[in-house]
Amino acid sequence: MTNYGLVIDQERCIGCQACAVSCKQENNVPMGQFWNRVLTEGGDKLDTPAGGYPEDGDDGTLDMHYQPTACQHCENAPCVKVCPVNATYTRDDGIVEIDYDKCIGCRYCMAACPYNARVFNWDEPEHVPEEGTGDVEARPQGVVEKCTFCSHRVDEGLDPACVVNCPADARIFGDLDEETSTVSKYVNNYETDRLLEDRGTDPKTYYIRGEMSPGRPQTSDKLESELDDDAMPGVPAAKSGGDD
Amino acid sequence: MGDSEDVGRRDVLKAGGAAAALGLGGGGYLNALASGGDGASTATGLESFVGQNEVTQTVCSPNCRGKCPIDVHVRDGQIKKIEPHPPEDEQYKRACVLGLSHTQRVYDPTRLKYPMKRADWSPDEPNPTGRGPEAEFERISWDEALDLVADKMQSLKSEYGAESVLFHEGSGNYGQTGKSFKRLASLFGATQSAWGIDTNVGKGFNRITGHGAFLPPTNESEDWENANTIIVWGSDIFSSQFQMDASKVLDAVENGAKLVVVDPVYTTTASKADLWLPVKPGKDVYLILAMMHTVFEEETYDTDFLRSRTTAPALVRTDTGELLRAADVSVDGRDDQVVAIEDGEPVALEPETEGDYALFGEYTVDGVECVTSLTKLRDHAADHAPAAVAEKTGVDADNIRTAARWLATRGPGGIASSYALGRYTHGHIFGQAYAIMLAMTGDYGNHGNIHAHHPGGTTLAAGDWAAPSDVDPGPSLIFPEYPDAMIDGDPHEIRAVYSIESNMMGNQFPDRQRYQNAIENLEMYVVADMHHTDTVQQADIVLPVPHWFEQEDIISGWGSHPHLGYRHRVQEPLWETRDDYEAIRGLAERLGFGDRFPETKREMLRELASRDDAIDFETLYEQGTQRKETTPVVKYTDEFPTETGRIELYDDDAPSEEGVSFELPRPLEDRTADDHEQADEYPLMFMQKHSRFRIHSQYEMVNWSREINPEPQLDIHPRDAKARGIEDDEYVRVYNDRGEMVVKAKYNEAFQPGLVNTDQGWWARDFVEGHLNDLTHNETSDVGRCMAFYDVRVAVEPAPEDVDTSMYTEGNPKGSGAATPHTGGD
Amino acid sequence: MNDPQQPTLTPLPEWESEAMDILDGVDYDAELGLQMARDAIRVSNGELTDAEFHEKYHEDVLAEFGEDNRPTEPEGFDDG
Repeated sequence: MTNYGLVIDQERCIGCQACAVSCKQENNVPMGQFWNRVLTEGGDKLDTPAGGYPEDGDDGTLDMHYQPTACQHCENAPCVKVCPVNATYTRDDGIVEIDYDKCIGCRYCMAACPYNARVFNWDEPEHVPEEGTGDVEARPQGVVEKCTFCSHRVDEGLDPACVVNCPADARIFGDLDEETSTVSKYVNNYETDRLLEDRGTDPKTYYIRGEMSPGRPQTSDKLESELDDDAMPGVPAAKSGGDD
Repeated sequence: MGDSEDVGRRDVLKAGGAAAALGLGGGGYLNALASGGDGASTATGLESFVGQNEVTQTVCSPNCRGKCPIDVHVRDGQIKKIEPHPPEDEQYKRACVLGLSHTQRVYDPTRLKYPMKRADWSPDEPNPTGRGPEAEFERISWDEALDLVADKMQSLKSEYGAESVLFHEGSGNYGQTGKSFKRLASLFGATQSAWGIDTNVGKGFNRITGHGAFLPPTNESEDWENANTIIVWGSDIFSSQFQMDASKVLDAVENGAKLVVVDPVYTTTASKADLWLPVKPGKDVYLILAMMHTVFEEETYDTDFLRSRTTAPALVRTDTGELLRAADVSVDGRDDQVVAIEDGEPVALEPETEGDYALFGEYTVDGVECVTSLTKLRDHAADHAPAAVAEKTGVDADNIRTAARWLATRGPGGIASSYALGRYTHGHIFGQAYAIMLAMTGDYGNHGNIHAHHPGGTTLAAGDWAAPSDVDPGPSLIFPEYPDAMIDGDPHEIRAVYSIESNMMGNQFPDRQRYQNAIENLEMYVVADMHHTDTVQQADIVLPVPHWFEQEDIISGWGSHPHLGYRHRVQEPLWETRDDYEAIRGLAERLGFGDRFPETKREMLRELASRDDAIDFETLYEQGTQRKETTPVVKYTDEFPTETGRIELYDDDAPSEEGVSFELPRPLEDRTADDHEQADEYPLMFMQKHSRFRIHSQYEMVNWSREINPEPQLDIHPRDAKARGIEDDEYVRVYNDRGEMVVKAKYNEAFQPGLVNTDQGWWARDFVEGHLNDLTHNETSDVGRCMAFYDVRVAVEPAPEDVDTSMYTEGNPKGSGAATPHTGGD
Repeated sequence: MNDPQQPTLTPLPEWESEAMDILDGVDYDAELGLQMARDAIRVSNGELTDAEFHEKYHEDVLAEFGEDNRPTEPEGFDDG
């Protein structure tokens, strides 16, 4: 079985927002909405650290990381369980998505999602330019929408837009059930966290913290599984021996 | 919408071969993609358009460090999205948040549509006071516009001389058009602009090594992973300059390199560092002297390098302080050769020559008492021990030693020096200092060496096309000289300006009020631009330029990567916009130089390309990019272009400023000095950091970015804010003796107490009051002659109660908050 | 509307109040949505089975939405 997942190396992420904006562009996300937000782990605001500035020559305690956050594509997705009309569902390849023809806008899924990953089209969605952008049709007013791992691209053998557009090689997409995939190697060999693991949602988005990975240098927009070995220049083998 | 009956959980099958063709198929830059019919419906009930776009490979072209080859996707006659396209050498695949956003920028309401004339301007009655925010424009034809400009140029030429017309070229378009602009200026004899921004550090570096104009050359970014120590000095490279190459630095770190960041701000880059040195603004020369001190104390300098490639062993006369010349004494050699001691005997130093030269000590040659250059440097550094400068610089002495130790002992590395350092008045001294520091550690000419915060890249070598050797060009003025020339005729009068690719009055020039006063002396101000910028609003004649995607060009990879790129047209120019080249050629025809300009832009590009043996027009055109193989990855492998052929550690022909002479890097500060006369009145230093959301003032209008970063802010340490009764998110008045602005305060613990910041690139429309360049000044140092934007003092207080902040505080949820300027003409 | 600058994920207690905000003014039973959301997390946590969850809310969902097409329906579930 295919089971898609995403690894985000927070040691590599530079908070550049290219993933957030490329997501909006590719998926025709309305103005005022984000499917993918680059949160700052640090101070209260974007691009501010936690801790204190060094005083009197000491080293200070400042600390800052970036945490790109979108739908975590949970194995036990509470949003799926509460949807009375089965509009939110899990595909056989693990992607959680929404059938917008079925969605009645009850927002139960938004209430159930602990990641604040879903947005609701309260008004008639606005786009700039008006005609919209990207490669997928816009959603109407009155439905809930969210990250689909760019399922419309994945279905055509392409990586999600946020992955293709990451200049830090910090986002790696692939099949968690395929042992040799980069995502599997990194999940096995690096220290990874998943968000709010105590909720039991079993997310398929993994965050590397601590030791930096080599990321996944890309020269193609194709899924890793679509590349033959020759076409994977620079994709490093994962380190052996775990992360201790 | 597709049928939704049975799609809920259906297996998702690949929809045919469309993906195989996407973007990368074939050799041509244009990939019209076949699709399997009308958009496939996905299980979500939505139509997918993957594979239906016509894709054109082109290049994004601002003055950033990207020059990113991109694929532009067009569907139904509209640009739908941008994706990165790896260049010929695929390891340089790159992307950033701005390049993506042309999808919005291309259609932004700020785009200029038609040629315009200020309503109350005429050649004989220019009414210069009519310029400014209230100016109104009327649409004119291209012929009318070019006739007006050419006629006025001719009449000014006969009355004041051709040099009374200034051709000002900015950095807003990295194509070849600038060469045609310079060509016309040369033929006409106009005054030409010379760079007065970000040249400071390079000047100091150049004085020591013979290399460097802006920042000095540095190894191409593919080599950065070989560095074992990277000291990023004064640059948030992950937010600007290097973000599209971020993977290269991260790879180095992942490989085990030590990343040191020297910055008063805890930047994104600092947050990734192994060691952060929170230096106080303007104290950088003290800090690097302390690092030299450590290298001397621990004797970790590179003896072989100092002997073979520097003047470290060269003798300095104790009587005159000058270098001892071979011709001065009975040493076999020339007057331009310096002298060292080898095996106790004086010898003339040849370039690139190894010898057992004495590096330290006092020697008497023919009765002349001397010491070695390295001794002079060591004695100088002796006054700046880490412990002695710790308090002054704000950096812990042990951390200074650690940084120096890593650089000196961990193998190849370098200092990614920045433009920010040159934005302090005397920034050239740092250029001199770190050139010397890297000589001590032997970090030249090796894999893994770094000398600047952006890579070298490459350019198109077009010989004398821009300045034909058969004509006598007019004089040049560096930017900071403009006001004196316009106001006082010093060094000569400027009566008209023709400006391309520059928002000089909006962002690029400091002391806005002074420049606004200065242009009141102009009889004609011609501005060509893509958008209705603040500079356009000051113009008399407005020439609308197409978006980059609407004008083909060859894009230089200077400062970026070693490729040239072909900027293919994605669409026809919108409205009546015209390529600058067409306007320049139109003027040339009217001025009698038409035969010196090829008829079409394509022909010009072909001619320029034919002058560069390292590229081939057809290949470049077809591939979209061509790596210029003559661009070396590793720099400084040859003899240095100095008098001695060596890095000149001790400069006996040094300039001086304010009584300080720079034979050795001696610290000198302007407004950052603790005892500066304005320190009490304006206690805060003010910088204008580059942001990831704008390149200079370009992309200001992008709606997507403005959702994330909606308005100008003042980054201020909470302690500084609270001491002034300023609350977080409160609007504040920032002021000094030149002007003021009102922006929102942002409590930010990342900023050193005593230092505040507003990111640059905002337009006047974005400020509640004023503009950040109402605070900056136009004073330069004698040596640097470079605008010192960060060497500025301000005071901050809560904004007056009656200030109108409604542009941001009332119902403006959609970003791009400020009013659309009058684009006129339609 | 979500906030791109929101710095962190919300801890559970605050999340409930956010959930209430989300459901405020909804055309359907907000209280039911909140309870189901809470229990869906309990299902994820293993404190409740899918079947128990399904059964618990089946009648309410049917009454509110006129259908119950949740994927939690156990095999052989008696719809009567």
